[in-house]
Amino acid sequence: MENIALLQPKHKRRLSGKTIGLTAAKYIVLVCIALIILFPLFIMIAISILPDSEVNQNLIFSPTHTIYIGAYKQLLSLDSDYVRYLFNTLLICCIQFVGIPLVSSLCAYGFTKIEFKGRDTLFAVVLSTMMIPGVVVLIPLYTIYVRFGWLDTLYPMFVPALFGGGATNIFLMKQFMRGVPNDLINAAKLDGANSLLIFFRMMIPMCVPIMLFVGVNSFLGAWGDFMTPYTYLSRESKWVTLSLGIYYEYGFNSSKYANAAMSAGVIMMIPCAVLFFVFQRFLIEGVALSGMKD
Amino acid sequence: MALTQKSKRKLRQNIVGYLYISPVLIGILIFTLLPIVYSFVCSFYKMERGPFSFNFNRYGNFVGLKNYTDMFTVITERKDFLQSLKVTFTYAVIQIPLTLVLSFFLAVLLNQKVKGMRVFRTLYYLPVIMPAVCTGLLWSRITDPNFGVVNELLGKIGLPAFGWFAKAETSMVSLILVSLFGIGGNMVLWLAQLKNVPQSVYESARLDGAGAFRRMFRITIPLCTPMILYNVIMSIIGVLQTYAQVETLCGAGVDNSLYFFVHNVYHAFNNNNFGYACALSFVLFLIIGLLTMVTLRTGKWVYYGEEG
Repeated sequence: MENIALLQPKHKRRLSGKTIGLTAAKYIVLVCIALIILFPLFIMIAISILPDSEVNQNLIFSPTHTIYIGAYKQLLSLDSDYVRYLFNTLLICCIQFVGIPLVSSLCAYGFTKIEFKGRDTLFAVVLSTMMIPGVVVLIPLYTIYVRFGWLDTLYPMFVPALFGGGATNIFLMKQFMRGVPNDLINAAKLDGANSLLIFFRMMIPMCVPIMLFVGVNSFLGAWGDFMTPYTYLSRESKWVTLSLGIYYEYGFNSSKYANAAMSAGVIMMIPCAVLFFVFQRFLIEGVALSGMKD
Repeated sequence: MALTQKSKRKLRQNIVGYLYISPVLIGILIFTLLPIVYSFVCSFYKMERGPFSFNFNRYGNFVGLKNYTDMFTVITERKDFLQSLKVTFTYAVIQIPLTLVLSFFLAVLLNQKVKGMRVFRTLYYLPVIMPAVCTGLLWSRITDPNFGVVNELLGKIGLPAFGWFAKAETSMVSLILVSLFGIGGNMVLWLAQLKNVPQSVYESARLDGAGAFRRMFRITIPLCTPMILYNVIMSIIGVLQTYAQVETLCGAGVDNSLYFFVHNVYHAFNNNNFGYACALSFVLFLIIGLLTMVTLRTGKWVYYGEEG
């Protein structure tokens, strides 16, 4: 679309009052929507730096213009529960960030570049698991985890994910790998490379963009995951994650000061925001590509 | 000789293929199929939640379809069940179309060769990546009847305070309002679709004298129908399972005004009524499956390109 615009000779259009007015109106609307959408985030940060004495006065800004970071300090002091939650969550996220791209690309490679009996049927089975509502599986899995002795451990948060990495990720990887020409693989085969060598030496280097996308997405998903820890961890467990810890300790019926609660939220948002801004084009366009949100 | 060599190679290739996909096959077997089958069997038992075992009688008794009929016959169960259905469907019926339409307008607005489109797109998308707990925490505070800033601001511009989540009547409206902050997710899908519409189609329509509205309803929307269908199905699956967003925001709401279907499932699960929880989750499965099928069946309005 932009290319077409470039090819056309540039008219020296005189901007009429009407076009300027229209453009201005568009921007006003866009900026207003942006302000509305960002308003809650802004409030969150503003409340998080209010001093304790001003928290319950219906304020956004401190009338005494103090910026109080005590709430943050308390949360991030080394022996606080919050830091423990943070490390638990970080551990899960890192395992998923590395593990899921690896296993899902292995499976996708099998589905794309190796011909075997029943391949398409099995792939259809894998895809159909996308349609299964999570609760149907979450509840009975509880009993299986009791048997494995996995309750109040971190295993439920990452072990199932390492078995294949989820249908959507395999699907995305497969779409990407289809673009790798078969001739390249056949040539390597003629040179005597086995499939594992082809996978690690050829496929992985070529799939770096999609692997990064899947990895970042998995990280973000694990970071915000609420249902899994909520179902398999008790409140007292030492493996409580950020989501669960914040829900229990700073949630809607806690008596903690709002500045502490908001700080807890802001800290949790920082890694999301950083990852998002670093990879934003990539993530948004990837979402558009895969056609899913969340 | 050559033939056996060939079949040998084929066998080897089959084995290698299965080895590559074995993680996902084992995963589906253990973490999806086994739980579903187990849950289905358990839904016919009155049982507690205990370690996985094929000796079903260990934790309870076979009761046939009683768990399924209890939803409609036992007074307390029926009350919860009907409330959860009412809440879930009210939310789905309003939220899904509203999000679809509003995100469409937002995408159209952004698609108009606006400078800085990327910046706006990023800003609008930002709330989508927020963890559910953060959103819940944030909104429960902003709308707090005593300390919330929104009512304070409304007061300043001369509007009456709104009940938000503190009143049963306003809870649903508030939840839908809050959910609209995640509109960026759908907007991105629309944007991608809008970019896919070939510019030449618009050009010829313009030459034929079609106005902006006609172009939108005769070209843009029909060409986007595959995405709409996909989006509607995924939204149905997602929205009917609403839980984390609501639970972290206000639990089940005042007077159970936001008692979603999954609230009911977890309620039974936490009360150690495992068989009933399984039965409920299967009802949800059934509802989602049926709605998906109906949506696909009514898919005549979807345009799949000239070839078919």
